[in-house]
Amino acid sequence: MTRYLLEALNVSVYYALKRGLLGGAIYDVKALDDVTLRIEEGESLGIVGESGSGKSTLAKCFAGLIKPASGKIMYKGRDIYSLKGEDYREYRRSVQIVFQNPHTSLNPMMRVRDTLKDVLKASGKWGKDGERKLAELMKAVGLREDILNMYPMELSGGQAQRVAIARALAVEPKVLILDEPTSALDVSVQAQILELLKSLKKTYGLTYVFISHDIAVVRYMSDRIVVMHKGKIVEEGPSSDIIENPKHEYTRSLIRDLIKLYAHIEEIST
Amino acid sequence: MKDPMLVVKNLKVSYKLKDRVVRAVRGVSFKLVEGQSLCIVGESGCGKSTLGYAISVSLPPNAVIEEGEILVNGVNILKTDPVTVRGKLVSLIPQDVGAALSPLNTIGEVFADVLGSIGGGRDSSLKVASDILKSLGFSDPQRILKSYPHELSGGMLQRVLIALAISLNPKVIIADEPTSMVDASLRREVVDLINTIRYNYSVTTIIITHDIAIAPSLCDITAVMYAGKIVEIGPSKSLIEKPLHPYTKMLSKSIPRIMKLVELKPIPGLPPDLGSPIKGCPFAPRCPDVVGDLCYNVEPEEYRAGGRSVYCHLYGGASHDTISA
Repeated sequence: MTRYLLEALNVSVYYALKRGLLGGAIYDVKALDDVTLRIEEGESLGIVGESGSGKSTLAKCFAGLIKPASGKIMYKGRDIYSLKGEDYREYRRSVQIVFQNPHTSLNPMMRVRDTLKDVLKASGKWGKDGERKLAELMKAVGLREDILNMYPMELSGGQAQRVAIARALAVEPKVLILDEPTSALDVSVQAQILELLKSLKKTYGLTYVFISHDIAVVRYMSDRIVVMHKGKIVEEGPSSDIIENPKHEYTRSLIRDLIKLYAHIEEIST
Repeated sequence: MKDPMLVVKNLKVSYKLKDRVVRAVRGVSFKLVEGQSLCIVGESGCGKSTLGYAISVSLPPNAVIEEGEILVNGVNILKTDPVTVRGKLVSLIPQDVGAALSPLNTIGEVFADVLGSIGGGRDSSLKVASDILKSLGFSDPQRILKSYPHELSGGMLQRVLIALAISLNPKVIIADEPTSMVDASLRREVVDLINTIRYNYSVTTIIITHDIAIAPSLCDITAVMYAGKIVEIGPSKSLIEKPLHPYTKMLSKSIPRIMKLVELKPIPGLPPDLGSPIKGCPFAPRCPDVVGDLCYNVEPEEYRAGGRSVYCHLYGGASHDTISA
């Protein structure tokens, strides 16, 4: 048994940009280029990079939403595409993903209650105590129970993102893949969601893969940081090492840009 | 002191909804001289975008200006035909760059349309457009003019929209959240670009953002808005380094730092519902420094010190010297 919960082994993904007469790709983009990354149980891994660096593609590979063109995605040491029956269902339950924009990732036609109920039913966790489970979920993510009766459109961005987190938690996952979960939110709401995620990690012993283009947010959330650029991992290490002693020029430019923009707030004593 | 280029006087804007009236801007006043720049900072729903739309005469149809004046270069734009104001006196750079341009027209057609409105012919319009695009760092403006919006990246579209906004030489430019949906690395580029047009075209700029930390790199002055009002306004650098209003203090504590790991302190609670009347200071229910019943009953007045204005009872009474901005 491996000590890694999730692994990407030499993973490459191509997106076809132009297709020929018979549907064959004549020009494609390497979204991921031979990426290997291992995630230990209980860790908080941060992935940082600009648009097009491949960080979201990697997240979707881990969640089983994109099948790599080559390479393997392993869950508890087994190739996820070789898993069958209950083993496969266990993997899909254990690895949950939260997307950037909660208003587009929640079904607009369904009340919060039905969204959550669906997920509980599909995973066989809906029973007599269902209503109590819903109440517990709402409490866990810091929402009032009357929000269960609302539609996503009636919620603020922060509330909707809390619902998306509740939906992910409903199936009692081991890993949460958080793909830019706060990028569409105000800084003040971002702070609330980050604090919520930190406390949920402690309460449920979760493993996090936290993805963002903002290296300050990634640092705040992660023990270890992976820097991606043009489909490749250019640097990885403990968060404080990456920030204080960046080796790769791209990492340095990420940090330099942010410091320049936020010079005044960096200097404030606390 | 130069004559102010933009004067906003006691502006009040409401939205008429089916069953109620939401008062989004509840009395905002400020002045800017030519070339000066102002950041309007606040959370979603504080009225900052509504204020921006009001100044750029692009409010939605259900918005009503209840009271107040907006003067641009001495002209009261609320009493002027919007067609002579939009783009010519005031331009808006919208937030969602992907949705701002018609997908069916090339960038060149859009420029010809905009510049044609002041009587420019097609060829001269394209020449002007190409010059502006070049000044904003496009090495091949001809290719851009022939492109459709979907052929350009987000960063390029942002630049095209800035070029469009300055194409009719407006006096005031308003950018709605120019840095919020962009990548951290692109953010730097956008900031540089806005500063370029500020200096090269000496245009008065207003930047609307929720990111208080970015204000000093974009604007001379920063105004913090809460529940439809300005709660603190002053020179950006000192406002960030030494915030006076408890709300400004808490906003700056909710931003993650890079070099130092500082615990974030989210602001508890939610902003008030602007559809119901507000008594006293609107921030009182969330404020850690409430000075007693006063805050819940009496609306704070303006207290001034060192170029800063703050609307908070903490600085009221006899102790005006406690403000040292």
